[in-house]
Amino acid sequence: MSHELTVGKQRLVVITAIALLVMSSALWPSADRAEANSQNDSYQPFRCDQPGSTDAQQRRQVVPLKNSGDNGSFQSRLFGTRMFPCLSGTRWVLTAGEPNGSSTTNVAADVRGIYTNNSDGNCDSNKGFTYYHAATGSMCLFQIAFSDLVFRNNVASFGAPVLSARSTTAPAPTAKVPHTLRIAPDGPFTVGGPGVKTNLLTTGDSWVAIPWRTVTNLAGLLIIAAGLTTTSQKNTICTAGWNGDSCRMKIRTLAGDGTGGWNDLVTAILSGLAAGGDYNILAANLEFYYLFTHDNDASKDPYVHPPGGSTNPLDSIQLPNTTITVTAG
Amino acid sequence: MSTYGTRWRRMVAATTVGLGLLAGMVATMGSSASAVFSPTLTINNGSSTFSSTNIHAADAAFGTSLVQTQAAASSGGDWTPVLRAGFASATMNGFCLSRVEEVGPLGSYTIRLTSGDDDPATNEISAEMAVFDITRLRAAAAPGVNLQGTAQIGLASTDLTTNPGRAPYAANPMGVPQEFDSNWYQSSGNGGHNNGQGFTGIDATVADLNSVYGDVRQAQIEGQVTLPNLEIELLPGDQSCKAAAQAGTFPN
Repeated sequence: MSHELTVGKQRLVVITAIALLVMSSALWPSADRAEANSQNDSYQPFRCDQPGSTDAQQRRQVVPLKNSGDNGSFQSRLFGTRMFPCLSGTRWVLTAGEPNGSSTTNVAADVRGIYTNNSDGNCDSNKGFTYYHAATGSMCLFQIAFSDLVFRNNVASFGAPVLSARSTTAPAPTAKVPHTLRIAPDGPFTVGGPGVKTNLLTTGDSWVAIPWRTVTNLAGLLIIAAGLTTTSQKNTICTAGWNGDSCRMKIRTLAGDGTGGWNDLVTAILSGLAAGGDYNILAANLEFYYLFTHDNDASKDPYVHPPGGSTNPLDSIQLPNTTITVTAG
Repeated sequence: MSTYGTRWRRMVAATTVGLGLLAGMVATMGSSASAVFSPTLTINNGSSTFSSTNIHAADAAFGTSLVQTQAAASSGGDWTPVLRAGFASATMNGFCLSRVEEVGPLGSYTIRLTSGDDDPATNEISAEMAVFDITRLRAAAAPGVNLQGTAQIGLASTDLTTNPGRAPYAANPMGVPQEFDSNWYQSSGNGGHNNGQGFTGIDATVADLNSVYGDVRQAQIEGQVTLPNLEIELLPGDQSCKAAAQAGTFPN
């Protein structure tokens, strides 16, 4: 019996082989790194676990990205593009400007495109969300996102920004030797910029001071309709206090914390401030537990596709003329 | 005897002291003193200073950590907090590392290691898998410390990676133990799985540091390091890298 194939069968075998090769190459996993829209050992390779759980990453937190576009939507906490940090529990504090100042000409920074994520809150009037630390304890935190935060060149003359993290702010267990990390630019620095979104998980009591005119310009008719005196308006809206026309507003207020009555009016007024607002910041006292930057395009997993790509990534945080120290205590 | 002649006895003493200091400063060199070292270069023994015109580090991480001071280690050891800076790979535009010692009646001497090509436009030095324990860092220019790509602040130091996405991973490059260790943690929690709580840090796709200098307690480079035109000098007085940088002079 002959095993030789006819020319036609040979052609059929070759064409079939080529077809299989093409099909298999299409099905074969891409050489590119896989997207990590679920927790992935490739990008979070170290344990963040809890005894008794079979999940070696039980204590990682899920933090969704801010969607691109001029709206207040964020990625889904369940299946969107997310970060999976193991949070140190150490409170970072960013201060700048005159905390009790009344001047509205001493502008510390300008923020653009600020939003709060209160879509699925479960604490603090259901505007905050619960996040767990690496080992023990949890916090109710608010997620804010913005396009950029640029400190003014003259900020040092009335309160240069300082970033600090004190180990003792973490709940036990914490470091054997208490220590403080301090990042102090001489003057201005920049967070975010073109192509970059920045997200912060802050406490509800964190605050930013803004000019009172920012509030009245945004919601003048509502304020007039409320029929309150200016002092009453400021007492209601400037929830961290005010001095002259400098209005200190807590982040939970910015996130739309309303519990009825006048607070609902406050929510209505302030919803504009946290919906892509661009405004001056006179002073800030932001207590945060996590900051991350990502590409404007929220479909791009930050672990795989950093802003601008891996080869020439975009500037995310620029700290010119800066001193960094770690000291005991 | 001429007062301008070579003081041989003093010079021999200084040289001996200098070599001793050098041995202490550069504890281990994996290969001979060529311009390319591999696989491990360790610099320790306390306070040294460093400077560079530019450090461009990929897969960079900065996390708080503790180090045991060598002088105290023999007596039980004191632990000092540091900022541990780790890089998967880095290039540098000039590098200077120095240590100043007071040597009794001989006064102060500086051991100084420098490398570079004197071209301010090139990052001619390279290092892989490097870790520096810093207590103070100054970036004396714009953009200073420039974190690029995906930047994260607030991660536990145990969660910082210097080589993400690519196996094999550097095993916990910041060195903070995940499980309770009485030298590192005040107490045990979460069934002893402390997971770096209280040690915090910064992770970035790229960290670009400009006109940078500071105080370094120890450093380790596990990968290959290329140091063109390497010079090791014993100099009289305080001629530290930090002092030069504070005066505006950086190696390149």
